[in-house]
Amino acid sequence: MLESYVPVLILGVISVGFAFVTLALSHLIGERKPTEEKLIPYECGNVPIGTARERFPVKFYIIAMLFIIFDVEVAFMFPWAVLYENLGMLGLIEMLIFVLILMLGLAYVWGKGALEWE
Amino acid sequence: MANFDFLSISPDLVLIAFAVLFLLMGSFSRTPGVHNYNMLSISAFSLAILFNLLLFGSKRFGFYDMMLYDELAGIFRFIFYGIGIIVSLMSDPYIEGKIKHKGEYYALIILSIVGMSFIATSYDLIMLVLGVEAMSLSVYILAGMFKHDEASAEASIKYFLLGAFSTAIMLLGIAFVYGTVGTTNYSLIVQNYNKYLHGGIQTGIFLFGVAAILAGVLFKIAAVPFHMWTPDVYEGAPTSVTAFMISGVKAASFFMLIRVFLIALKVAVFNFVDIMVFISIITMTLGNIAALTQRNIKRMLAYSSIAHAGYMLIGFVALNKTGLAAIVFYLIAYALMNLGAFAVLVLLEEKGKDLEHVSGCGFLYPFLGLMMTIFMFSMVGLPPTGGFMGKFYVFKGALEAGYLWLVIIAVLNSAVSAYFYLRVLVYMFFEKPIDAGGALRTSSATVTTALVLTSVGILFLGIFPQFFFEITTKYMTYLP
Amino acid sequence: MFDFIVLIPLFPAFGAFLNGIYGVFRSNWADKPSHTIGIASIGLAFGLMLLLVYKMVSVPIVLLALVPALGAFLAFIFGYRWSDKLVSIIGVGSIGISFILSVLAFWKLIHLEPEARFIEVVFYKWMISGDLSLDIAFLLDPLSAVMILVVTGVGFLIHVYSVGYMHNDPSYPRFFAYLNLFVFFMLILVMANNFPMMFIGWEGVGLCSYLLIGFWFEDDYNAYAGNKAFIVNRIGDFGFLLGMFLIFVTFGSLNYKDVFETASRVLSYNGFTVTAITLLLFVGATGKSSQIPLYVWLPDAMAGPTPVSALIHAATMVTAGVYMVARCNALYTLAPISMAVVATIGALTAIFAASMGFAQRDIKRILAYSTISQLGYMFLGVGVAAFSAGIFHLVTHAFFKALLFLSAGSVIHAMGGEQDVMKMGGLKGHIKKTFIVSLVGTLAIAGAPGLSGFFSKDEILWQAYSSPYGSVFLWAIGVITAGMTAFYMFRWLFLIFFGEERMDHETKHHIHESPNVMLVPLYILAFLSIVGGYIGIPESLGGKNHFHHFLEPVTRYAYKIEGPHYSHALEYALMIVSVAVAFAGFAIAYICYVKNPSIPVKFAESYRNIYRWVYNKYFVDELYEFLFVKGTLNTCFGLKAFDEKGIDGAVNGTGKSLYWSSILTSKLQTGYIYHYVWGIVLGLLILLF
Repeated sequence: MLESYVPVLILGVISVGFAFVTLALSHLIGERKPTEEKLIPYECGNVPIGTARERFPVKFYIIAMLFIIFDVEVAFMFPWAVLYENLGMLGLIEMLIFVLILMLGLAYVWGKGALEWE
Repeated sequence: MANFDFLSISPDLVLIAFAVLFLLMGSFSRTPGVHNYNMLSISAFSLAILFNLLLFGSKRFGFYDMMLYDELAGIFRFIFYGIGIIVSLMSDPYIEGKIKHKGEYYALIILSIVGMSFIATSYDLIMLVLGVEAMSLSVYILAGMFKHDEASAEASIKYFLLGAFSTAIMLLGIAFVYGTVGTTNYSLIVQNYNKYLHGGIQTGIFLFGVAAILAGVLFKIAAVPFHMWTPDVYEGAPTSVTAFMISGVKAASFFMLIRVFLIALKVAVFNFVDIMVFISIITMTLGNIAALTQRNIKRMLAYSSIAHAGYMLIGFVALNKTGLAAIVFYLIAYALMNLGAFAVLVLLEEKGKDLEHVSGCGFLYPFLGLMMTIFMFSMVGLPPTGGFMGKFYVFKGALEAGYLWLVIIAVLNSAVSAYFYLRVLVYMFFEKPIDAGGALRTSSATVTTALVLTSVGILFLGIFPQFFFEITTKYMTYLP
Repeated sequence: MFDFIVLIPLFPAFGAFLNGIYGVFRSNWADKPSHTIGIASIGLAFGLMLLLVYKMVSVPIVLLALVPALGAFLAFIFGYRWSDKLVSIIGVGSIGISFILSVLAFWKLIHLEPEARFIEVVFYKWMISGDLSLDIAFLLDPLSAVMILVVTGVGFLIHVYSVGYMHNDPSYPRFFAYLNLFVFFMLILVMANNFPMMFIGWEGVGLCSYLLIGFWFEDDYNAYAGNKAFIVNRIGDFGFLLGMFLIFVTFGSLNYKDVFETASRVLSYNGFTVTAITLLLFVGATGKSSQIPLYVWLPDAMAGPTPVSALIHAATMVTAGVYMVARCNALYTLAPISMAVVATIGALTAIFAASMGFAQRDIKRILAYSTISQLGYMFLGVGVAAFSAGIFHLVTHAFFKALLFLSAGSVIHAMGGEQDVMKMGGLKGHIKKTFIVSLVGTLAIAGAPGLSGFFSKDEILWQAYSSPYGSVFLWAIGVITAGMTAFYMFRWLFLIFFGEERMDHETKHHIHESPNVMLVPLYILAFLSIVGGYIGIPESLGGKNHFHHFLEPVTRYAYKIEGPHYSHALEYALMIVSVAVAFAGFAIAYICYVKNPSIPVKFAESYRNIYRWVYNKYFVDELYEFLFVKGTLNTCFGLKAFDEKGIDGAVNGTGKSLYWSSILTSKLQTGYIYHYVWGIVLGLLILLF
């Protein structure tokens, strides 16, 4: 049984090794000419307008958390949809319950006023 | 196989319905402050107890054999719901004005207890993890319920991070177990172990998995050296939440230990007895010794809970019927005395949290003084309290298993513990009262009810111990 | 059928519980919410108790028990403020119900066959530990039936009396709580079916006695008297405990039934073990029943309120030793040496205490010495294997001594707290009713023919002479004591009620008769003192001696020796002698204290030393103080020095090292999460290896 883990082991070794080797190589043979532009954080090509370590309004976090919850919901729905035929009625009911719980959560969030920006 | 036995989880369904109701009430009610959430939550638990009473005595598998409801699980459900009632009773005057929406508080308590109940009925490691997470997540939030209190927030974050870490270790262990025996179902683990594993590297990996699961469980139990979070979290969390954690979470964790290691992993449990003896000794010794110098009563009780965990582990080390049944008995007594002591603290906290602040309160408030005396006596283990009989049965189990020296160490430990428990009473009765704080609102009817319930329970366990002990012995069917 | 007897001790316990709670929380219960909560919790506790009872007992009895509880509960709910009136209702009512139940139990018992009169009711399995298996179980047999009747009956009367006597006391509920608690423990003592339970009662009554002697603890002397009683009793209890252990070692059981049934087989006649057991038990009895050498606490115990002296230190608790010896008759009869010791100690105590009663001045102390002396009689009785005679005297003594104490209380009440008989006199005209009942009591104790004391005392004297364990000397001491009893009791009576009025004017002005609530119990007790003896008229006087036959089954396991038979003529002769001696005692008292009051004064002057000797109770207290208290203290100081230097050093060293290690372990708690994580990792590593 343990043999089946050998590919996982190989994968692990290769991934760690790859990361290590790349970093080591670039450190060893890469040429370094630091300029100011090179040292600023990379933000998808935009020029930063201030330090990234500043305080955000807490509302961002709330929205982000809500996003994650529903994101996970969708992530859960993909495999479910793929296997929908096999799961049959039972799968449908299970998913309905799951969605219902999330609906209740949404209602709660809505009632608490977390969806309003101000 | 698709045995959807909703009846077996009916108490939990009731509770979940109430929890959802509480949350929605908080969101949509125009006057969220006026609802008697504590009474509602008590009725929820009472309903749950009623359903459980109807179920009690049957043995039912359910949900693809991921759940097994048996008598011992039923008993633990009673314990959890009872704890829920008492916590609901003592919380209200304490959180009044400190938490904006009390429904959330009670909903989280209820959900956490549902998690415990799932732990109690789990028959699959996945189910177990679900239960543990449902319980823990709610408690993480509860610990940080006082948003404007730094200590509370710190407790919450610490508990969350460390808890997540320990759960990760536990999941890792489960993964290893799954990897070696190819299943997470309790009975299949045993079957497959006997079928496929015969020594060698695979058994080694299996044992590694078991050790990691054990580490996760011991973290929840707060055994040394997994105890580091306990003092900070118990001290920082709101007092009523600490009472809940110290009684409910501890009881659930111990049942997790018993259930997982005596049903699923009983094939491996004997490999860990020696190390558990060691852990039990350092747990109680360190807990008691560290408690000696604490000035903050909550922190002292946190260390004391570590020490009590050590005593209870003795019953697990003994691995016989008496010892294991004694753990259950001890847990009941332990939950009652801690809930009671914290209920007193809930009232006295207006004065302050340190020993000096309760000076003279014993005579100022004779009822509270009397109650605290009962609870502290029970914690030391003096007759005629439940604490005494709990220790007695645990030690008896250990003696039957031949651990005389372990019992001697434990008894020495409880002698040491008398110092810091009785010191609370010394401050309450023999010190001059300090002026700070003014008069207390001691006449909270719900807290008084909680105090009466717990103290009567403690004395009942102490005077008529046979009653419960016979029940627990009868249903302690998990044996290695 | 007899299950309800478990309720007999439960009612007083409940009364004590209620009144105790009220006494503690009285000041806090002024506001209504906490009042209601307190009551609700009491109701809950009582409900629990009832539930327990329900599991053991048939339903109607439980309903009976529910009625008063329900009434009280409803009264509270509808805002009835708890008053002293309610305290007395609960206090007296609970004993009253117990009494009714006792009568019921007795009634049912005498309708059984004599052989069937042993009923054991198991209430609860108490503990099982190794070979030891104990039940909370009650035994109802003729002996315990008599005892519960006396305890609840006399107890009830004294409770009623206390309502009047204590009515202005600020600690009224506390008093009733203690008194009820006492009755509870006393009932446990007499109804137990095993030694440890008896010991619980034994210790419990000791505790209540201590609490009640020191009831007015604001006064140092009272607290001291309570301590003295407690400590002296503790010495006796030590012997009792050792005896109990020895019984367990020998028999492997502590149940009466097991022990007594097998006694004659397990133990050899006059063997060492049985002698040791019985002597050790008797040490306990000397403490509780205040016999030589442990009698010293009883006179001081008079510091308690008078009803307490009547109930605890005359009628019931102090007779526990007699009861115990009678209960263990199967053991005692196997040990002739112990029997001789019991009888001799009894006789010596009787005469010694009687002589100390001669010169006392305190109205209650005289009665206290008389109690010691009468207890000596009872031990004399049981010591010569006349168990029923001893118990008979116990019963009659309970009547007339309670009567005398309560009358004394009535006198003290009338005199506004004065207790010195030398400052009384001539009260006959002022408080006539009290005088009459006192006279009845005095006649009864002096053994006037026809009254209860005569029959019981005479039976003991006759047995002391005729029993195989008896002897002529014991009889002679008994008769002389009878004369002395008559003398000092009439001295007591004459000094109080006859002669010139020696009180000051102010007191005299205020003398008043007691209220009816105090007098009615006195009448009832006086009536009982007169007729109480007719349950046991000896056969020689044409009676049937029902009492003796009723108690006979109790001694069925006793070792029987055939004694010589004597004719009725001899019995008459002895009877006449004792009556004559008693009359002589009366006559001397009459001459000395009514006819010619100067005689005692002259006597005291001319025999100053003897008088001083007797007045100071032979300096026994001082002797004990010198021998034991000082000796113990000196040893203790020596030990203390050793303790402080050697033991404390070691102990404190341990404590200190624990303390430092505690600070060290607290240091481990850094508060940093990553340190904590290392803890977890460390633990995982420990588990792995």
